[in-house]
Amino acid sequence: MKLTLIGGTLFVVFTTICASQTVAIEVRDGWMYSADSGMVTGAFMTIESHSTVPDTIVAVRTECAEHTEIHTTVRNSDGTMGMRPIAELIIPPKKAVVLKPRSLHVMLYHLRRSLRSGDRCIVYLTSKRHGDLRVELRVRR
Amino acid sequence: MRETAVGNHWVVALRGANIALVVAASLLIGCNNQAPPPSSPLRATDGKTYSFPADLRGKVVVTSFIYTHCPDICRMTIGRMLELWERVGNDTTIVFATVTLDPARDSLGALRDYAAVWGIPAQRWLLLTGTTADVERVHAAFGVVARKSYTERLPSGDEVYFIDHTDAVFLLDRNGIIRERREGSTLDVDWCTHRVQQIAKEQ
Repeated sequence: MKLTLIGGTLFVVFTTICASQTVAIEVRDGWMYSADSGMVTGAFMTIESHSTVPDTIVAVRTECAEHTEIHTTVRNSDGTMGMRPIAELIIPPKKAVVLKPRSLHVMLYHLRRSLRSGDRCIVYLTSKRHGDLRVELRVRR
Repeated sequence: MRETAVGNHWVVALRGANIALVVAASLLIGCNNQAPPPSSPLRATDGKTYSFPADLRGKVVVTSFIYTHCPDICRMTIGRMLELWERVGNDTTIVFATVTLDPARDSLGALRDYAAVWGIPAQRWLLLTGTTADVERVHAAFGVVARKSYTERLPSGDEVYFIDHTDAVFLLDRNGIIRERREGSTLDVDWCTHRVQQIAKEQ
């Protein structure tokens, strides 16, 4: 009886801790452009902080691509558009950072397989405070 | 060493000439110039070679510029072009032409694969590439800039480079004259549908 009670309490504590970790940074609405095997493509999502302290995304990885980075799109003084990698992405407390076209995005280099509309790809963002955050990307044209 | 130095002078001179052409083309387009842009030979995904854009005279030509390694801006532009195609693609007086910004990597095969991924129709939508010099001449004729920005070395050792480029699409009338220039990735497809149809109705 006593053991069951302790076990139950531990379970509640454990799931509470896990739940609080899960909701501290929420990654949702993930999608990416379709592309052929070996090509590069962009992925987009919303990263929302429910925490009262800032966090930082320091790495991104996925099995779908050989290499992954966070990029931002820039407009140069001559009007041309380009992309630049960024080392870290700061997620301010209680704010959502939206990765979207013409702005921040995840770059997937050299896809390991062709990804077409309707396919799925799992990406892990590494948060400084919360470790790996999983997001499923829907592939669309 | 000396050859390299001479070579560099040529590169500088050619770059200067290209910049001058781009500036001149931009000014002319801005002034609603009535002369068609100069043409250069480009190979298309239909297997033919075109003196572009001259060989398409007689058609309204919706012209866009992309490169297949571009993950963001060009994808948006192609998305807008596909929306436009759905609305005006059945009009046989209108053709779409998409010119590469990256002739070094965008072979005809790469462009055909790209067309397959995106569902770009094979009829009356040409994806065009060519020698670097010819493609650059077409860029200059339209006032389009494309320059290598930074290179990423992947864990495999492969290098991938990106391009800073103009984000623009153009509408050419049946006489080959550039009638409109708009940002491609944010193109207002409703406006563009109306404008293309208007130009197509002109005799």
